[in-house]
Amino acid sequence: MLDIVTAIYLTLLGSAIYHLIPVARTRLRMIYVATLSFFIILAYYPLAALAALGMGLLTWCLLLSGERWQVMAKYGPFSLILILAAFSVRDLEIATNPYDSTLLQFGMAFYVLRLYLALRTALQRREQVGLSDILVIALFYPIFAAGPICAQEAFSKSSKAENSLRHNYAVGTVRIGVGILALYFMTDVLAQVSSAVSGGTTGAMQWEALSAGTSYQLMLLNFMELYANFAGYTQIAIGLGLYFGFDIPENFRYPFLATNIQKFWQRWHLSLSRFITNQIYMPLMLSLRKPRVSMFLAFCLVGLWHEVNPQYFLWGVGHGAMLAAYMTFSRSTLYAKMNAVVDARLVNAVSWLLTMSAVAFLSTFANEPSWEQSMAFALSLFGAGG
Amino acid sequence: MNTLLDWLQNACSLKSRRETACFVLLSAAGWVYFMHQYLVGSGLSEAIPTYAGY
Repeated sequence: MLDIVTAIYLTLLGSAIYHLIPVARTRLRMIYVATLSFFIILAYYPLAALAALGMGLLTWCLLLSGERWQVMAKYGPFSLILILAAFSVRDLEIATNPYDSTLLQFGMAFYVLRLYLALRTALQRREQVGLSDILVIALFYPIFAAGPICAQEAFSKSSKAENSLRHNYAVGTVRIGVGILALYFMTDVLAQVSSAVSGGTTGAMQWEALSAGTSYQLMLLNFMELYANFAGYTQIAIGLGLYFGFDIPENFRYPFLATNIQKFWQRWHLSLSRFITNQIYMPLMLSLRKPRVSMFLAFCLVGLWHEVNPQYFLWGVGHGAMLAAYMTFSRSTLYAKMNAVVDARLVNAVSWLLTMSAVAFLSTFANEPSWEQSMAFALSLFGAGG
Repeated sequence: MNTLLDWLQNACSLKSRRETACFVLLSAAGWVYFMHQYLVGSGLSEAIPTYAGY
């Protein structure tokens, strides 16, 4: 089990050795060899590590063949997505430890997108990307479990590598502190508040027994807990990356300030949002020429990327439909008239409340462990419970 | 002190001095919590986020 102390201690030790190695290529090799050894021997995540290694090697082969054959450059990257889809659709019954299973499942969703991005970028720009670059993108452990989604710019061409070591270590330490507070303290506090609101329920929520008001409060608390957890993890990942001079991108920009769904996606999970825009929405838009349909389809696919189940499909449908509806509404004469008549602060306040309620609803709906639980939650908001 | 805050503000892409000061205070609180958990508490759980992937 990789606890935070081990992660920070090993990163400090590893980064010190990393900076002592004079040759850039050897330094990158040290990262993935050390990560693999650590994952397999010390932490005992053998399947997660070997799967990432295999996908990294496949990406490298696709890169070599793409440089040689045009057809492989065009269609090769999709094979990574097909493998991810095959792993997501089929529940693999492999006897391994629970952390290994978690990392195998969640890690793959993220490093496949990183590898896909790296491959497409390298092929489009005709960049020289070596096996070491690819394997670091697949295996760099602070971002292994949950992103951010970044490619070679974050590692071998990092702008942060030019900064002084003192600068990167200081900023990294500040960011890790913020991450620890959010990931461990805030998440724990919010979980305790949720437990108090629900009357001491632990584990799976008994939505059937809750009133509409309580369900609504719990929905917002769940969403805040998700934010604290995920944003805290990202801060730690960025901080640990800085110890090596890597430029792991930002993932959040105060999402709770978003006053509409479009602004929400400009503040929430930024690396995924960028990936959706550049890799899914733009190609769909170029072929369909219909922005709203393209946006809707892009989010349906992203819903299934999270998990292949009806709850996450509906999460994608919900976000896609809201974005498409907002794109239509914000260009309508009704919207212009409304803004002219009603005070902007009131419009923003109502819009903020609706946006936060909608995203919190979709998030809680999708994160419930089963379809029955998700439906019980949705019905409880309409007073079917308590 | 001002130079240090400027430096952090730039490095962490923060917009104002106040935001940077808050960031430093939150970080200090995080490290204090971390030390507290290890010295008198029960440690911290594994570094895999509960909501990994979402």
